This record gives sequence, C-alpha cells and structure tokens, in this order.
Amino acid sequence: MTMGAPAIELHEISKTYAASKGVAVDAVVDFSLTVAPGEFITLVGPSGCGKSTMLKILGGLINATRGSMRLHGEEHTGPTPEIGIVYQQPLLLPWRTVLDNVMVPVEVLKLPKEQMRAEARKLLEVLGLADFAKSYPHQLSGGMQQRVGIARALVYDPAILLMDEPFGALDAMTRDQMTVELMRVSSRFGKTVVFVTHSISEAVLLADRVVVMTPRPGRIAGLVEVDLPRPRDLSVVNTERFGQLAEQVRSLLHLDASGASMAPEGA
Amino acid sequence: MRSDPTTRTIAVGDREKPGAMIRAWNWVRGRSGAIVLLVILLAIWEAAVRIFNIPSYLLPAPSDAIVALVNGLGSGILLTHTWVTLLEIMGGFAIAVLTAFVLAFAVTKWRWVEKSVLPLVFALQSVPKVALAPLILTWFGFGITSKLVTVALVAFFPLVVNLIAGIQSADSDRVDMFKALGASEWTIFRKLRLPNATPYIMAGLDIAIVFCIIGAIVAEFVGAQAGLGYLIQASAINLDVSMTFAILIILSALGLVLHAILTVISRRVVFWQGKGLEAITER
Repeated sequence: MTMGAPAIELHEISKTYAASKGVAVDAVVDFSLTVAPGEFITLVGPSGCGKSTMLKILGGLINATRGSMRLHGEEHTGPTPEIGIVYQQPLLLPWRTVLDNVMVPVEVLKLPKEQMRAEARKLLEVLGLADFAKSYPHQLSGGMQQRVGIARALVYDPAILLMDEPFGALDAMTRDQMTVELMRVSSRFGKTVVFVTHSISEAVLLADRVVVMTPRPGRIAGLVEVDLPRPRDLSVVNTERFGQLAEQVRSLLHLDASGASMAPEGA
Repeated sequence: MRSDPTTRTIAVGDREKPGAMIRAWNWVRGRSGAIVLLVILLAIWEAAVRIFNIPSYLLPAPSDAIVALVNGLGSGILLTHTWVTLLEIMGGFAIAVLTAFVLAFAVTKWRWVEKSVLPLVFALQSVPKVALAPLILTWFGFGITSKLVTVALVAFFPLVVNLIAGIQSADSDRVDMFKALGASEWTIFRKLRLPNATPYIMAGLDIAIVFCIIGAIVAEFVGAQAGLGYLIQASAINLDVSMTFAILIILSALGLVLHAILTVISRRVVFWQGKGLEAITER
C-alpha cells in the first residue's frame, strides 16, 4: 500500500462480451474514475448500463477487456482481501448460524479464528444482531439477513466495500432503515465505498459523489458532487439542495420531467 | 434422478417439542386409517384361510406366520441369518457410499473425469444390476464378498447420481461469493458444494438403503450359505411357507428401521432445507 495514493484508480476500463452469432456487446466503455480513501461513491443508472459488470470487474470476479486498475497505488488483477462485497441477495449459507456465516471469509482467508470470532461478535452488535448470533438465516427477516451480509463483508476489515444494490430486494420501509444504518456504519468504519443502485434518491442521499452511467454501451455520463452536510438523515431528502442534486442526476440520465422513463424511487 | 429432494419437507425445531408419548400417539392417530385397513385385511386373510381350509404350504394364516416368527426368533435361527444379511447390507452400503463420494469429488475436481467417466456411469445406470448377481457369484464365490459387491453395485448408482446432482446444484452467486475471497476449488467444495448437497445426499441414501436390502436378498438367492435370502429358499424347498412369511416380516421391519434411522439423521442434518436460501425474494 502506498501512502497518499487514491483508494481506487480505474483507467479506461472496458468490457466486451462475445454475444451469440459473433456479435460483440460492449458492457462498459472507457470507465475512468479515481476514488479517495474513505470516499462514498454511488454508481447510478438504469438496468443494463453495466454498473454491476463494473462492480464485478472491481471485485476481481471478471477480467476487463481493456484498461487497468490500481488499489492504493498497487496493480489490482484478481480477488483480494482489500475488498469486501455486499451482494444484492444476502447469499448466506442456510446450514450455518449467523455468527458462522460472518466467519466464512475468516475461514477462507485462514485468519486467526478465536480472535476474529470476537471481531465478528462486535460487528453483529454494531449491526443490531447481537441476540441472533446463534440463529439460522431462515429465522431472520430479509433486512436482518442483509445486515449479516454486511457484517460478513466487514469482518476481515477490507479497506474497500463494494455494494451491489444491497437493499434492492427489501421493502421500502426496511430499505430506508438500512440506508440510515449504512450511513452510520460506513462513517464509523471509515471505509471507501462503491455502492451500486438504480434509485436516484438513494444515490444522492448516501454519496460524496454520484457517478451517473448510461446504457448501451455503459459509460460515465457525468459526476455529481454531493455537498450535503454530514451526518445526514432521511429528512435531508426534503431540502432544496437535495432536490437540485437529484435533478442534476436526473438530467444526466436524460430523465427530465417530460417523458421520464424512470421514476425516482426509494427514500 | 429418481427422487426430487426439494419436495421433501422437513420440520424445524423452532417450536417446543411435545413429549415422546404424545408424539407416538400423534403418529398413530395420523395413520389410523392405514392401521384400521391393515387389521381388516389381516382379519379377512385369517378368516379365509380357516373357512376355505387352505393348506399351510400354499398360504399360511397370519397367525401361523407369527408363530413361525416367534419360534424362529426363540431358536435363534432367524437372528443368526438376520445378522448375516444385515452385515452384507451395511458393508455393501458403506462401500457404495465411499465409492460414490470419491467419484463425485473426482468429477467436481477434474473436468476430464466428468467428460469421460460420468457418461459411462449414467449409461450403466440402465443395466439392471440384480441381473449381474449370477456373474458376481461366479467371480467372487459363495462367501460374503459376492454379496457385498452386489449390494454395493445396486446402491452405488442412486447414490452417485444424487450426490453429483447435489454438488452441481450450488448456485453460481454463492460460488462467486467464495471466489471473490480467493477461495480454492477444494475450499468451495468443502464449505459450499458438499453441505449444499446434503438434502440430495440424504435422499440418495434413503433410496440406496432400500436397494441394498433387495441386493442382499437377490445375491443370497443365487448362491449363499447363510442369510435371510438363503433361508427363504430353504424354507420354500421344505414347503415351510409360514417361515417364508416370518422372514418377510423381518425384512419389512429391517427396511422400516433403516429408513427411520435415515429420516431421523436427515431431520437433524438438513433442518435448513428449503429455508433461507431465497428468503428475501420470497417475501
């Protein structure tokens, strides 16, 4: 790790899929972005804009066709314990207790178990799951399961957290609650976060900077700096400044009041 | 595949469990229809044998079968032969389970095994394994070896098919979750694929154990010096049909007990089945 280097540097990342009948599909084109340590980035765009593909490339799960990536100044080519991922579904293992689910990365990365178990317990407490350490996933609500997913991503203390529409499958009220909680947790742990969403209000509410993507091919349409003061809560949604920022994002997505194809949703 | 394990529902110990007596009573009550029917059928059978004076070498009355069973158990002859057959069943079952696990791992680990061995295994599945029993007798002799081989062969296929289906059923999102942590194939196998396959494995074991009993009896039919299948043939030659029925009772009981043991294990091991996997989307 190089001191003072950006947490993430993406340089002209492109991903081309070979579709059927020899037609190539550009999922992502020339994606360049520099993220400072501790910065909260949201990636917003309609479905098919390549934001999930971009997150998979970042996570080292798929290789980019072109371009280069650096994490804290060092070349990034594959899976790394520097990155924690929260998925759209919690992807818990139903045969393991909540605590043992959080311990999965500890076992895979062969970290000291006893010490890490204490860490896992602490995390569950922070996320309001202290009483459920010995429960099984099927005994938990959807929101609680996703919190276990977050604890699992945080347990080995990665510097960077990638979140792929983590609240997309939750109902609106749980979703608001989780959003507030995420702001609390992320400021507490000081992680660099890249958060993918298709909700404009969620994107503005959470972000230091919103990266707006447009589809076919997926490319960056523009960046919106969010200067809303922190700590924020849900009431910030009603401020004039929030409305202006959301409007900026919307216009970058070419979703003006007339003929809007994507209604604002979420918070 | 012979059975779809996802359709089997298994109770979860969320609620407090009632006492053993109450559970036994509930069990009986839930099957009262079947029990009443069984008693009626046995009564008709008993009455028919007595009214029409059917000779016992053709069809013994149920009471005669019970008497033969009690006598056989008392003299120790039934227990001795039951023990032999049970050993064959358990031994052959163990061999089949071990072989199936080794093959399933090889299939997961090496692509060429999947491409070369697996199609052969699936093709051989259609061969009626009991038809090979005389051949196996020729190769392995009258002793226990030929029985173990027949039993293992019969049990192997449902096991391996279920095992491989189970291992391949791990969803790609969870596999990716492990890969993003840099997990090796072996780690993914141990921590995801194998536990994920347990509902399939338990279903396979349940099918296989019934096959094992069939395999052991057929193997003893074609040539043996001991065992319940041997005893059935001996009693048939002696026109001791009551004894044949007594053995059938033992074999049925054996099957029920082995099935019950597997059901209890299954409830403990796969208590999570069908739960929590897609809980969020099921909302």
